Amino acid sequence: MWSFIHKLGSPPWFFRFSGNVVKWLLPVTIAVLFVGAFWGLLVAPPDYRQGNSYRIIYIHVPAAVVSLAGYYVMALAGAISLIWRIKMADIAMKAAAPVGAVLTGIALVTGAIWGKPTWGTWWVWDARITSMLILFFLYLGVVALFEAYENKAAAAKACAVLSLVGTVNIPIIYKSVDWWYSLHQPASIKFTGESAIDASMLYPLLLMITAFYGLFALVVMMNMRADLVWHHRQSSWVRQWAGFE
Amino acid sequence: MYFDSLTAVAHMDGHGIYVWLAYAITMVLLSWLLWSPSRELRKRKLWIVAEARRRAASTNATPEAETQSEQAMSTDRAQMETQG
Amino acid sequence: MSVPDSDSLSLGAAFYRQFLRHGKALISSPADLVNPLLFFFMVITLFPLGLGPDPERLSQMAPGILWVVALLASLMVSGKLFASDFEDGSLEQLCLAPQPLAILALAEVLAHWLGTGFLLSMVSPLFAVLVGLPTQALPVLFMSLLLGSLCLTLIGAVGSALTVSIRRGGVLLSVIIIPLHVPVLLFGSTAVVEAARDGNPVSWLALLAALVLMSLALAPLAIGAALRISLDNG
Repeated sequence: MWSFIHKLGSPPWFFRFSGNVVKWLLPVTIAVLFVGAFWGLLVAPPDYRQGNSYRIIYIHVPAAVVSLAGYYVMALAGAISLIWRIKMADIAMKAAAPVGAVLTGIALVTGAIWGKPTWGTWWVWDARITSMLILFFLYLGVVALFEAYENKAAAAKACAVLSLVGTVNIPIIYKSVDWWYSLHQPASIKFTGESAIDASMLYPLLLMITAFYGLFALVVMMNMRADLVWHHRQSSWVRQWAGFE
Repeated sequence: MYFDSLTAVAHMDGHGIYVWLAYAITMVLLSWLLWSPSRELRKRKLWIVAEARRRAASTNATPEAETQSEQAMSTDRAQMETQG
Repeated sequence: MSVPDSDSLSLGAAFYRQFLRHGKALISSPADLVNPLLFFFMVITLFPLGLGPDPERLSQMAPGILWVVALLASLMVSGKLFASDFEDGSLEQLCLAPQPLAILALAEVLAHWLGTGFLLSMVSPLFAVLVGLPTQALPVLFMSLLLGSLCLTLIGAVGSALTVSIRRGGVLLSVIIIPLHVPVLLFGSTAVVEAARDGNPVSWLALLAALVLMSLALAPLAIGAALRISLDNG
């Protein structure tokens, strides 16, 4: 176990390892994604209250779940980078931030599209959507901070601090938005849904969540690979990979 | 299979436009997520190969060939740096 | 400023000295004390102008208006917190001091808060009258701003420490800090809303107090780490 973790910190080893992982994870993820989408879109029965519009759940919820988990992954990488000063953790954190931002964006956009037939309006300050929007801002803050720093090693450390502060804050944000919403809750708008979900609807949802997790891991690894090659473009293992030496 | 016909799939009792719009946007964004790092990796590989060739060539090339490839390299490099 | 005998200072004395130093700097430039209040005053006047003078509607929106403007005022001044220290090099000396950087930075933040957030919450009841906040909510407004502004200043200080080495970091500071300010805004404005409608604001004030304690404990650590990173960058 420990030797595996140690190896993860070595760029050439990680590059080779991630290359193999990407090779089989990519087709598997895409297959699961398509099976889940097909199942959710065409096979699962419609919701008795929301009709067919609920089918958006199969991308909305996975995107939301994975974007939240992604923030914790990013912050964990940041903590590792700050405590043990492992370069690979910097690269992982930098690779995760834009992926999380895009997934949060997907959750927001699909939520808005879902809101139109359900609530009759594109945007409602529902507790969950509001928290998601703030998570989106947190991600954008990390990306913007990284871009603003000239010295990229310092940028990664700064983003690590920011994402750790964000991690402490996220449960407070979620809880406070929840309370705020329940206090101001308009009677006409009430979100119903996943609490009592039927198995025929649940299985495709679980498939899609798995696929989104796979996709997150995949894209983070691919981003890291592109970054690693550039950082180590002078090393012999990169030249070997490119077909030289 | 829940739907009877393709038109029913497209229409989804009036919700089709929303459902398909959401899936289309997600599809585009996910494809972009997957496509952009692989494009980046490919581009960088080409750059590294070109750089290695240039180095190999500069040891025993004629002076004008060297300056030519050097110019090509510097434009390559400028492109790489602006894009990532 | 040189710190020739900093080795011999106890932690408390170093803390006090840092506090005084920053406080004196604030007092010596009255504009820094007055401008945030002026900003608060002026932005509040914008709301009746933009929303219309209907007193009933204004008083309904008053808690939100007051709190949002206080948040903006805090954001405005947060950027300046470590700027002069960074420029004149005293930040580097602070990092080299034998006392923990987090504690020394906390002293500066507290001095900064006394000159900005504390002052603002003291005068906030005056401005609350402008937007017709019900009188019974005034003490809660004061209390919530007193606690909330300390929280905003501490979180803002983390942002300031992270962006101090970046040229034109002002907008960036807002971008990274605004999402972190959300719970403070929600607790604070809800407390005032509750007080205005004769509800029970105590639980919201208690939540704010909990936030203050938590940020007092954690923010200095983040500030210290961020300041060291900023020095590496600059």
